Amino acid sequence: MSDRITQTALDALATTAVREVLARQFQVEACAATPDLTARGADAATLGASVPLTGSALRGAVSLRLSPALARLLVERLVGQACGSPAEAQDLCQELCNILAGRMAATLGHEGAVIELGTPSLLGPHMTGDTAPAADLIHSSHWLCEHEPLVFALELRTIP
Amino acid sequence: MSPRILSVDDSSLIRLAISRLFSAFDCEVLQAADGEQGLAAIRQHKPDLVILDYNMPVLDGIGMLRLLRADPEIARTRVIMLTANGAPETIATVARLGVRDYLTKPFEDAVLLAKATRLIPLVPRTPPSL
Repeated sequence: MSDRITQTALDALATTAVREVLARQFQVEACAATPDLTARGADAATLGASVPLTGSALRGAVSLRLSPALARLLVERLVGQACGSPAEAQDLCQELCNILAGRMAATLGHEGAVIELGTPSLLGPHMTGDTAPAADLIHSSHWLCEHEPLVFALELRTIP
Repeated sequence: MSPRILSVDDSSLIRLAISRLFSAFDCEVLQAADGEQGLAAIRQHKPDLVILDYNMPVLDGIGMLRLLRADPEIARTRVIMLTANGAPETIATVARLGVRDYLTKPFEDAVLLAKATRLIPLVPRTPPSL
């Protein structure tokens, strides 16, 4: 699969996925940012989730980090009422990661890769997702959404 | 009698979003957090429409659909899939299991409403008179 998709193409697909998912589901504009901008302050991207990707020809994971303030905003956009609990913020983080993983799996499917989504899991404040050892393709992008940070990452490894 | 809709999704937020969306219509919205709970709710409440997720713990959407279609009492239940999983193989599988429509997340409220309206009558709620 990675023979067919280049790093540049993967970055473009991932960037489009982040922008479109946030715009369509949450009516939020995602603006590309630099890592130093997204790592500011105590309310930085401390919520995290990961979704494993498996297929006959590849393995990998999608992971997401965002600030609790952004999670609260996205909950409000999704259900039309204020976020009531940390559990709702965590649910939002996992569901957003799941939607992004699904979008990436479908897009990569058009490139000829059959990919199954695993069950989303939460990440601790300093954990990364289930990384694929010696990943062939790695995407990582930093975003600001309504001035709040979001970090999206994708790793893919071809199975010989 | 107003239609009954069952939302089966492991995300409480998606279930809440669906409940909110259909609250503008004269219908009842029930919720289940996985396929096993979903099957129990279908047997108990006989919903007119099920809005079903794919990836769920305990029993996923495909597993629930197979059990649903194998039970003559509930086999004809109308189902719309609403899932992050847009893989063509998955869509083909659920189509063989009689899913009436398929919607991938992110989804737009208007699109889900349009698909639901094709399957069940949805009448806007009358605002309470003053």
